Amino acid sequence: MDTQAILLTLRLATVTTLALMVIAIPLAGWLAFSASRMKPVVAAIAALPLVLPPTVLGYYLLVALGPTTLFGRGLAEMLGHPLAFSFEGLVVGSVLYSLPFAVQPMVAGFRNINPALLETAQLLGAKPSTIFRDIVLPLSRASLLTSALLSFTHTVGEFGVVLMLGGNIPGVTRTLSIALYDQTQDFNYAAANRTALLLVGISLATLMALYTLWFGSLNKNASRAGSKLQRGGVRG
Amino acid sequence: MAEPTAFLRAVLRHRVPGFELDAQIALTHSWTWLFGPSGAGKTTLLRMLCGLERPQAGSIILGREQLTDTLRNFQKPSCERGIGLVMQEPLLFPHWTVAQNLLFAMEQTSRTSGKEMTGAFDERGKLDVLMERFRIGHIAKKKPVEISGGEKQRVALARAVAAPAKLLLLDEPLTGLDATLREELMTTLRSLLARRGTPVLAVTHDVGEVFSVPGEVMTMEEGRIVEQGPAKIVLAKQREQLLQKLRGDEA
Repeated sequence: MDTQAILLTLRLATVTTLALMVIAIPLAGWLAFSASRMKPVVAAIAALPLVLPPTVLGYYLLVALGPTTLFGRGLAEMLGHPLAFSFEGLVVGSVLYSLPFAVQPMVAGFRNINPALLETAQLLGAKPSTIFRDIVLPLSRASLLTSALLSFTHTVGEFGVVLMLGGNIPGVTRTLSIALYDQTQDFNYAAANRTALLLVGISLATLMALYTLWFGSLNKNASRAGSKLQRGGVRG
Repeated sequence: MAEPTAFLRAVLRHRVPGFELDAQIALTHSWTWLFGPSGAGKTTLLRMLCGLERPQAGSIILGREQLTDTLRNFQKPSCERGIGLVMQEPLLFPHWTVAQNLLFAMEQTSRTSGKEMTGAFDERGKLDVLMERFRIGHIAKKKPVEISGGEKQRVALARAVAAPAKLLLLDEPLTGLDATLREELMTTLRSLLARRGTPVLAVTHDVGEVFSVPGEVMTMEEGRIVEQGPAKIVLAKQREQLLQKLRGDEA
C-alpha cells in the first residue's frame, strides 16, 4: 500500500479545503449579496472549473506559475523553488479546481436566508460585516459544511490538474489518483485495485459523513418543530 | 395644546408598473396612525423611511438629519438611521435564544450613533428590566421555534425597543393576536415609548384601533396621503364614506 500517496492526498485535500474556506466565504458572500454589475462576470469565472477540462486549468497554471512569466519567477524567488512540480503548486491548482464546489453551496445557503431577517438586523443597527458574521454564517452552517466536505472529496479525486501541474514526484505530487494511473499503466492490477478501492472508500466515507450530518440536522429541526414528517421521509 | 414643528418631513415619489407613490408627509405628534386600505402604499412608505427602499425621487429629513436626498444621490444606510420597524411577522433570529435576540439589539451601538450608548456593565440589568416589562423572562433561554406566536411578537417588540430609537415604525405587529394581548402589549409599548420620547408611526386599517390611542391620523389611498389630522375629524369622514358605501351596497 502506497502510504506516502495516501498521506499526500489527505494532506493536499485538507490544506486545499482550509484555503478554500478562507477564499470562498467572502467570495460567496459577495456573490450572494452584492448589487455589483460585475457579478455575472465573477460568478462565471468562479464556476469555470466546473466545465473546463482540468488539463486546461493545469496547463494555464503551469505556464502562469512557471519560469516563463514574471509572476512565476517572482513566486519562485519568494519560495526558493518553482511553484510548479511542488506541493504548494498543487494546492494552488486544487483550490482553483475545487473553487466552484466550495462557492456554489455557500451562495445557495446564503441566499436561502430570509432577506427580511437580514433587514431586521440592519434596522437594529447592525453593520453588514456584523450581519454576515453573526447571522448569515451561523444560519448557513449546513451549507458551509457541505462546501467543506465537497471540496475535500473533490480534491481527493482530482487528476488532470495534478498531472499537468505536479507531475509524478513521490511524496511531493504523487497523489492517489496519479498512483492509480501509474499502476494501471504498469499492468499492476493488484495495486491498482487497492488504490481504486481506497479512493472509493475515502469518497464514500466523506459523502456518508456529509449526509449523516445533513439528515441529522434535518431530524433535529424536525423534532424541535414537533414534526415527524421529515424524519419519516429520511427513513423511507 | 400646541404641537411642535414637524420632526420628520418627507417627500417621496416612486413609480413602478401598477403602483405609484406620491406622498408628502410631516410628522408632528408622538403617535401617528397611517390609515388606509391594503395596497395603498403604507408598507412601501415605511420601508422608504427606514431606508430599506430607495425612492426614485424625494427627500427625508428626521430632526435635523437628512436621511434621503435623491438629488444628491444620498441615501443613509438603514443601520445608521436609528429607525426601528416591527412587522406582523416577528422575524426573530432563529439560531439565538430570546435573551440573545435582545442582547444583539442592545449591542448595536451604531443605531444610537454614540449619543445614548449603553455601557456593557449595565446591559444585563437592562435586559432583565426589558424582559420583565414584556413578560418574557420565563422564556429567556428558549429559541424562537420553542415559543408561541404571541410570545414571539412580545420578543419582537421588546427587541425593537431594546436600544433607543429616533422613530419607531409599526407595520401592524399586533394583527392576528387576541384582543387582550394586543391591549396589554400596546399599553406596555406606549408607556415605554412615551417615557423615552420616541415617536411612533403605526400602520393600521382598523378604525377601532385608531381611537384606542390618541394621536394624529394620516389616511393614505393609492399612494397618496389624502388627509391628516385628529382622528375625530379625519375618521368622521372615513366613517361617513364607509356608511355611504354600505348604503350604496344595500340599494
